[in-house]
Amino acid sequence: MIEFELGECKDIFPIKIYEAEYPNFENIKQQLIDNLKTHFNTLAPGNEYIDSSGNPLIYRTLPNLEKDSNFKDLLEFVEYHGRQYWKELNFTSRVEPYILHMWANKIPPGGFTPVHVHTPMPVASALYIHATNDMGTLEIENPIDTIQKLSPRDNNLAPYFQTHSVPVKDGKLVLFPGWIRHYTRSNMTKEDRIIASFNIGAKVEYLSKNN
Amino acid sequence: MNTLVKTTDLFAHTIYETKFVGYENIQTPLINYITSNFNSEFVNEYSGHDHPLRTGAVTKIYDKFNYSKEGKTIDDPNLKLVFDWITEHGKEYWKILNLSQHLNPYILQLWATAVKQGGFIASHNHNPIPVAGVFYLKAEPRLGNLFLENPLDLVLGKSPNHSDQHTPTRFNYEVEAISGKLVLFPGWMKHFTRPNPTDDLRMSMAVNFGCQGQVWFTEFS
Repeated sequence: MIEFELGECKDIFPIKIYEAEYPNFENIKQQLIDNLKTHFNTLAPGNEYIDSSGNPLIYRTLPNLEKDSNFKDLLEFVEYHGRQYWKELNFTSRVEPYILHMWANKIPPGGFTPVHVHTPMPVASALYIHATNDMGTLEIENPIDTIQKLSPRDNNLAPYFQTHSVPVKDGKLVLFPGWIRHYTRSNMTKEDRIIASFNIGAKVEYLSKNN
Repeated sequence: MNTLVKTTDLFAHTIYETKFVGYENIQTPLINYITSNFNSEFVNEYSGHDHPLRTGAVTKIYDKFNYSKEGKTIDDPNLKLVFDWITEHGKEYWKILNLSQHLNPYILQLWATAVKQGGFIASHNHNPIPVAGVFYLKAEPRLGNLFLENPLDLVLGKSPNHSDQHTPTRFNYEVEAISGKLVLFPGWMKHFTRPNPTDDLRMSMAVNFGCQGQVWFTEFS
């Protein structure tokens, strides 16, 4: 009879994401929505996703809201946490990360954000201004799902589609690597889902190891 | 800034480690049995094909296909003991990975490698094998540890890393190689060993798990 004790499991190579909540967000929510209204008059090109009536499934502002002083407090909040996340990822401390772009998305009922990445941005993020899970959770895709799906998995034990679902709510900030594929589920409510997005980067000089 | 913060680790890969209790009691006879079949030459070749082994010797110990076809069984009692023990751990790891319970995992192949000074196993994986592993016959960290490679190293290497944060430019996970230890990992995961810098021989036994059964390729089965 062999002596058999269970072995030890170790989880290696995880991908770290970061979540934070804006304190007392309800106090600034309506003002934020009002400030964004004018920006939705100038939509970014490339909103090609439309419904059967020709109406957009996503409205996206130009990616220059970081220049609008009305968002100063919000930008400071996101930048602070962007720097914390930068440290968590062990990125270089020789530079100060900062917000490169801010823009907003308005997702009408039935709309969604299709799968995309923010490459080559090192860090991407979303801050939920008016959002509930029914309006569409954030879905982050396993970057090696192709090879995982080639394993003889039991689909009753593990999800077939390898995504991590991040619950959303007003005032929640989520930071993640810019290269990771993500999308949102459809907005199943009768209200618009509104979020702000940020790209965080830094001026980095690419030098050889000897330098 | 006073706010609620949390970090979450996503999509980690689970590996499995365990140690054969009382291995020291069977180590010498087991190694003697295995080395009795070794190719006397240290050649980097295995059944006619290139092998990631460098400056080492390799020999096949067990192949389920041939054993079944020829009606052979493992006759060495110590090898049988280790074989059965690895099989049980492979089944546990199979469950941990959420691999299909409609399939019956078993040891498909076992082979042994030995490296002398300067020898090592170059980077490779065991595709399309679902579960691979290594059992250390005679090893210690100074003879060369195991390194598992992060499958995302190409994309992670494009991140703003710098040695000021001790961020690796290669994204590997080091596993200590110790006699009697079994390490199991996904068969697709690339891995390698450091060269053996000593005069002592480093010996290990690699394992591939296969499976048999019927699976319905739908999540609604």
